Amino acid sequence: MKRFGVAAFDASKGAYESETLQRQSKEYDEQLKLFQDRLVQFANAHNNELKENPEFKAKFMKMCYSIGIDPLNLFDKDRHLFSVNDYYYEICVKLIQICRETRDINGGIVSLDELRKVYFAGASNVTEEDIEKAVEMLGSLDGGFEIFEIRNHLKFLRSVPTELTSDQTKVLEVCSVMGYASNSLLQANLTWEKLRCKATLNEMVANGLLWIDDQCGGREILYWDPSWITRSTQEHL
Amino acid sequence: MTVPPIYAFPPLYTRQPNAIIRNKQIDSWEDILLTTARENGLWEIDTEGKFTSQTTQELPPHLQGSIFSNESIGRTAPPLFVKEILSHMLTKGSLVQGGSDTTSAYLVLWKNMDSWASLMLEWCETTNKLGQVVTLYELTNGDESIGWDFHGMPQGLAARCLRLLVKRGRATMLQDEYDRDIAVKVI
Amino acid sequence: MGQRGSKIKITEQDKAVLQLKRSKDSIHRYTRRTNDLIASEQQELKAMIRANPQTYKSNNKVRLLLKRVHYQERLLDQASDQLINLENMLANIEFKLVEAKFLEGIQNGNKILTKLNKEFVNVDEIMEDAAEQIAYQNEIDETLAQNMVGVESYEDEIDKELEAMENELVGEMAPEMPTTEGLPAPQLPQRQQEQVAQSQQEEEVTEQPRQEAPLLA
Repeated sequence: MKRFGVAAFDASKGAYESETLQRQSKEYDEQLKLFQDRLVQFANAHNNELKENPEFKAKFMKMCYSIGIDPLNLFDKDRHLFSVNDYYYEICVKLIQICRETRDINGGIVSLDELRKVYFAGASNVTEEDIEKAVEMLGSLDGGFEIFEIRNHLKFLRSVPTELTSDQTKVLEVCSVMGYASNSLLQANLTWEKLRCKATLNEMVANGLLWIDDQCGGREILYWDPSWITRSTQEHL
Repeated sequence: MTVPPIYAFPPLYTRQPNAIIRNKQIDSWEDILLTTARENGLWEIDTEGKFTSQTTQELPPHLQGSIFSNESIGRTAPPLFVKEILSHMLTKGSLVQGGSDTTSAYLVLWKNMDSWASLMLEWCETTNKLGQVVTLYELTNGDESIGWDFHGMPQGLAARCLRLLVKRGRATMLQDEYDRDIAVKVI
Repeated sequence: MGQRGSKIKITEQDKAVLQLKRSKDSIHRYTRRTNDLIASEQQELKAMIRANPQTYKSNNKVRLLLKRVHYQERLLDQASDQLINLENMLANIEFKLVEAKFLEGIQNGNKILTKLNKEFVNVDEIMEDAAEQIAYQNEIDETLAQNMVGVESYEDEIDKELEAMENELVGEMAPEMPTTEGLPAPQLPQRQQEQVAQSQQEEEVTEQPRQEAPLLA
């Protein structure tokens, strides 16, 4: 915005200031990056001590958190940084957090693909296998975490105790193609009767697993899988 | 514009029958509204969800229609649902009645009034305006408030925020010949 | 104009400043609007030139538009000057207000000083009074000091009495002394007896110093 009067003299000053600020913030970024790298190196070098001294480990982790290192980045499965189980414990904690936060939106069903690409975006070394292993460990807690598979390759994590019926799983399979299902789609693809389609879809809506959309040309209601909300974010990755 | 990805999710424009989901849905709408207002420097919205600009600058094309309508996916939230969302925001205080004219009925508060009042007080303190008469125009449009979040705020809303400072005993309002608030003196 | 249920006062200066600031605001508004206008007209001009790269120089519309832009720019310059004038004036007023405050402070200080000086009118009387009081105080001090002298002589008397008592006690002790035991007491006048006792005691002191302690205690 152009300035007038005496204030106009401040304009050039402002530009200079912002330039200085930018340079400074860039320098800080570089320094922080360097520090983070060093921390990771340190963790590698002192792996054994970290492993043996829980207090030391806790303090080290706290420091990592405070300067913005996701502890998941510190773990290195091959070299068994810390101990390998700690790595999975961290994933477990994160999984529980994510599931709790998104449960109202997706009814407690989230695809592993979405988990990795959207919610674990800050920890690039986490693979789907890691998530699966973490979920296995969560199984001993009896919290109802379970992974199921549709169409033989798409894996979902369920964090609510009620198990999906085979019909509901089938609906999710249909959804995984276009993002939505509908009475006619189900009838055509699964050769279900109308009543069965309707009952299954309505139950899934009531459980919070699907969102309805009544604006598709006004002909039919579409039932959307909420994991498509983040689809646009995923496409950028 | 950085709207949350849910803005492109078609069911967002249909009122969800499941109450838990609907609460989330309405929260998402509130988030979209406030984020849009904040990022585009907008302050007023009409009952249909159309933002009105106070400056001469034209609104970006995607904001010329109602925020509740997304052409790229061909979805529009029905008027009744829009009303429900807006009244939810009214009860929460992120919207208040009283735009500059009858068509724009609501003021969008992406910070609550108290925060605005405190921020204005802070501005007076940092720019040495204590004990001086400051016009509302100077406060909301002057060069000295560029870069402050309330820059561009409608003067009516600014006056309402400042009245909180009057209540706190930190300010007094000055009126023009038509008894409209036009300036403030903060001490 | 006024204050609504508030204790903060709006002075005449405040009102004057408000008037000035309102004019400043309207000029500010004008400059901003004109600036936008110039920007849009320049855009238009560029578009016209781009549309007609060969003939634009002879195009009347283009020339007119450019003239308009120049005119607006001149107006903008004028407005900016006026804005600076108003800002200067406001700054001057502000400074004058500070000066007025300064003057007010000096005047107040002066007033208090004169008031205080007035209170020094009967200073002689007070000083005299004070001198009297001091003299009286000295008198009291002296009297007290004399009493103190009396106390000293009293102490001397006490010492004397104590000595006498001591002598008496020594006298009583005399018959028990081992050197005089079993001997017939020489017939001497009383005074002599005392002297003898004293000399005997002196001997004792040298011979048996341990016995002295209980005596004096």
